[in-house]
Amino acid sequence: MAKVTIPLGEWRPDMANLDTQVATDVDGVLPEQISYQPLPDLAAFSNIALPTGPPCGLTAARKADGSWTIYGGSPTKLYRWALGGWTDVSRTTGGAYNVPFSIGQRWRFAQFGPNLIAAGGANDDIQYINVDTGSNFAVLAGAPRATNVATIGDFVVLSGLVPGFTFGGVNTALRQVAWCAINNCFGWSVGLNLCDMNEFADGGLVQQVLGDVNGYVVQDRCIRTMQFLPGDTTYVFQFSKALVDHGGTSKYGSALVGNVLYTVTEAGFFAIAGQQVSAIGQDKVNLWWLANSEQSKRDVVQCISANRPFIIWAFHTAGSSQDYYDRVLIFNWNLQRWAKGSIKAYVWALLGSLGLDLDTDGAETGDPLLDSTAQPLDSFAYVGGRPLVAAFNPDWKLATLDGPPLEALMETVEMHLVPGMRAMVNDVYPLIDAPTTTVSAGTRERLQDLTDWGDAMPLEITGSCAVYSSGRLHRYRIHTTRGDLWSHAMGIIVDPQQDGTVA
Amino acid sequence: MDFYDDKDELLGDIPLSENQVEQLRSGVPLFIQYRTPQLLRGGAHGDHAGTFELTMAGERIRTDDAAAAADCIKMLQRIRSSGNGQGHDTAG
Repeated sequence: MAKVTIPLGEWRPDMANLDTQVATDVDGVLPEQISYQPLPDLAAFSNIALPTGPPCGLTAARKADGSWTIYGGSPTKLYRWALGGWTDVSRTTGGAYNVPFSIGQRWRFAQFGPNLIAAGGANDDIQYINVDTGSNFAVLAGAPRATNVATIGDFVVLSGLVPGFTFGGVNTALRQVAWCAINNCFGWSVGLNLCDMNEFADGGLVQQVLGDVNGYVVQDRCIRTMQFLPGDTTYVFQFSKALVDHGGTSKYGSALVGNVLYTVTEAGFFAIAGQQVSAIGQDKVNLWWLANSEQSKRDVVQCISANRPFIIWAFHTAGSSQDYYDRVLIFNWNLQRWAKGSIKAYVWALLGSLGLDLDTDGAETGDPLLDSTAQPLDSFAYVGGRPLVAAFNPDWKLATLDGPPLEALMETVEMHLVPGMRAMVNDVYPLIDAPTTTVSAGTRERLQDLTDWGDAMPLEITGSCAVYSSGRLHRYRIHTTRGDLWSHAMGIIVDPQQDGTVA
Repeated sequence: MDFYDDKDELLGDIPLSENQVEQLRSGVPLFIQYRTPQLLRGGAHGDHAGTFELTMAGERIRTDDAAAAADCIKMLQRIRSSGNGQGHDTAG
């Protein structure tokens, strides 16, 4: 019989997958056009852990000279990173912060000019630091306590105002947003120079605000567009519903690419461009996500826009009791394709890497002599300012998503290789360049049976794996080990033979 | 900060940030635009709006439009007296 190529195809676990062109399962990979690529693990950049934890905030701020500074936060402290370690830059008056990680509160950051503004939720005032000249954070006087912060055009916008206070003559509530005076992040006198606030009559509490002069307000039962109205002192911003009755599950679950909002709701994943809504997870991963994510921790799902065309949602696997994320869902927004992986991290961020000079004098921590093997010369440590996906790993160490490839698993669709008949497959030729590839075959006679998985068979000198599988229905798993270097996985080629019947 | 009209009479105080005070001290006028906040508009708060300019003369901040500035101060006073009283520091 003719050889049959079974492509891995798009991973669409919500779709019926018998004799189709989709992949049944993928893990530890990135989704590409006609293949999957390895997903790197986190690699700790330094052995210096955050002094207090658990980590619950991470961001990078740009200084006037163009360099980057990384800031991290714990429930009680704010820190600035340098290659020598973490420096406590918490406020000097007011005592330790109280940002309770256990109830889902995180530090949220937004840069406005030279000032980095931090929102820590219910128990602490909004903080700021001048990233060029400041040595410690301090209270941003007049700003209301809030769960989230964003820079929208010429305004700092605080969202989810903490109840129990008065701001602008109004009792605060989680369904409110407030913004500073135009082009003045210190101007929080409502009524002056366009500083104002809004309260949404419906749609629930405000989870997050994102965007620019055309932004988005993500509420827990609604998503609105937010448009700056230049010259309009009556409303300043115009809000219009884009998605009704569905809203963000998490205060951290949305991200932007261009002006397209990517968000996760209890109805699945959406992309929203203005008033145009696309259900990007429908018939793809929505049901899988609901079945495989921990319901009690969906309020802290974190979304970041990565530096390749990927959106990453970090979440807790169903049943997970760990306080850090243990899974990521990855969406290639250019190709509209999904994949997933298992990476443990407390909090994610897209950072700008720090520079490390090449003076080779070894004076700074992490800057060894050139002939040392401690820091490879192509390490990102020597290149400052590159966009870099980073996170705090479970050891509270700053880590970057450029470690060794994760263990990868890719499972083909299930197929009737010889329609109406049983089929025998001796060899499988995997279309992947990973040296340690193994392939296992899963077979069954009827759709009602459980799949019987054979042993993982290694590559032979021919490039094939001798699986010796027999059945009516066949599927195959390609497996690579952690650290194995490879570039693309496309599928398998099998040479099925009509087989005898089962008595 | 306290500010005065062109007859050197105290009009009241208006919250200014350090940057705004620095701007005034450097001789650059400060443009103030005010408008009753949208959540308070109507009813007892009415709907007040206007603009005026602040400049620094010596150590004193002066305005070019005492009537507008007084209207703004009244608006701010009404705002402060609203709500549940658990206000934030409004020094900004």
